[in-house]
Amino acid sequence: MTEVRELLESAASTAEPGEVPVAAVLAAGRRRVRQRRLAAAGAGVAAAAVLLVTLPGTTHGGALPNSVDGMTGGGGGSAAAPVPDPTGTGSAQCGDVRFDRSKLPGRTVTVDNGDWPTDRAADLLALHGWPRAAPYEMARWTQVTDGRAGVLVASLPGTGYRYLPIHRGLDGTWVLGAPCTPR
Amino acid sequence: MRAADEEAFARFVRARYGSLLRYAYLLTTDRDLAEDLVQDGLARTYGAWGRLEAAAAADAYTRTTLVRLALRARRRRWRGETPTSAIPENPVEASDLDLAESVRVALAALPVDQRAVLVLRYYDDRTEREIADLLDCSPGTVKSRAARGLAALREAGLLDGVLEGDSRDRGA
Repeated sequence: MTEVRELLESAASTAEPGEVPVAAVLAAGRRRVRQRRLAAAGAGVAAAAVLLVTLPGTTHGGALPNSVDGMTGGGGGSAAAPVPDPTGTGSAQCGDVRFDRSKLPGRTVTVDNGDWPTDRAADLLALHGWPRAAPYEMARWTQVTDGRAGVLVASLPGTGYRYLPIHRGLDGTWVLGAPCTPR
Repeated sequence: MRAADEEAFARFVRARYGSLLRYAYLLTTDRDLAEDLVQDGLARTYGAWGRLEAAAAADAYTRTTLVRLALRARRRRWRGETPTSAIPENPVEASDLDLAESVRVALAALPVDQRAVLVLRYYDDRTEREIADLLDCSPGTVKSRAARGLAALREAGLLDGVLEGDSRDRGA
C-alpha cells in the first residue's frame, strides 16, 4: 500500500510550518500544568481551607442546588471548596428533559468513556459565566440518562454544579441543550 | 519543569513540529485546526515530559494524543466538520498540484474515525492491533474502517489515478 502512503504524504506536504511557535507551545504547556496542579490542590487543600476560613455559602449541605445563577461566582468564597455529590429526590425538569433526581449523582463520566460531549459542555458553560473547566481535569462529570435523554452534571470545586440536558441524536452521538436550572 | 528539561522540550518541539503538523493536518484536513491540535497535543506532552525519557517516546506519545484529541474534536460540532459518505465525483487529475488538494478533500469527506485509521495504518505504519488498542475497538473494526476509507479514495479516483495512471504513462 505504498501508493496510499504516497497519497497521504502528498496531502501532508502542503502543511509545511512557517516559524515554529516554541514560545506559544511552552506557554500552553505551563498553563496546562498549572491548571492540573490547581485542580489537584483544589480537591485536597480546599477541605482544610473551609475549616480554617468560615465563609457563608461555601458549603452546599449535600442538597441539590436549585439555581444555576445562585452558584455563579463560587458562592462568595474564594477557596476551591470541594463539591459534595449532587443528590436529590423526586423528578425534575431540565430544559425539555425530565429526569429522576434520586438517580443523582449518576454514573461518572471519564476520559475512558469519552462519548460524552464534555468538551462542548464546558464551552457552553463558559458562555453562561462558568469558568472554562477542562473536562476530566478540573470538573467532575456525571450523567443520568435513560439511554435516550437525561442530564449531564458538572461539579467544580469552589463553584458548584451545572446541569445540561442531553439527547441522543439519530447518529448515536449525544446532543447538548443549554445549561438549565432543574425544577 | 526544570530549565534543562524545558530546553530539551523546546528542542523536541523545534525538531518535530513540522512532522506533527503534517500528521495533524491529515487528521483534521484543516490547517488552522491542525495548528491548534498540535499546540494542544504538545502542551500535554509538556506535562508528561518527565515520564518520556526519549524523543522517540515523546513523539509517539504526542502522535497518539493528537489522534485522541482529533477524535474528541469530532464531537465538538462547532468545529464545522460534517462527515459525509458523499465523495466528490470528479476524478482527480494526476498533476502534483491538485493531487494533494484532492486527497485532502477526499479525506475531509471521510468520518474522522475512518480517516484516523487510514493515517495510523498507512502514514504512521501502525499495526491493526495497535490501532485497535488506541481507538478502543476491535481489529476487525479497524480493518473495516480501513477498507471503507480505501474504497472512498478509490471511488474518488485517487488510487486508480496513482496506480493505473502511472502504468499507462510508462506503457505509452
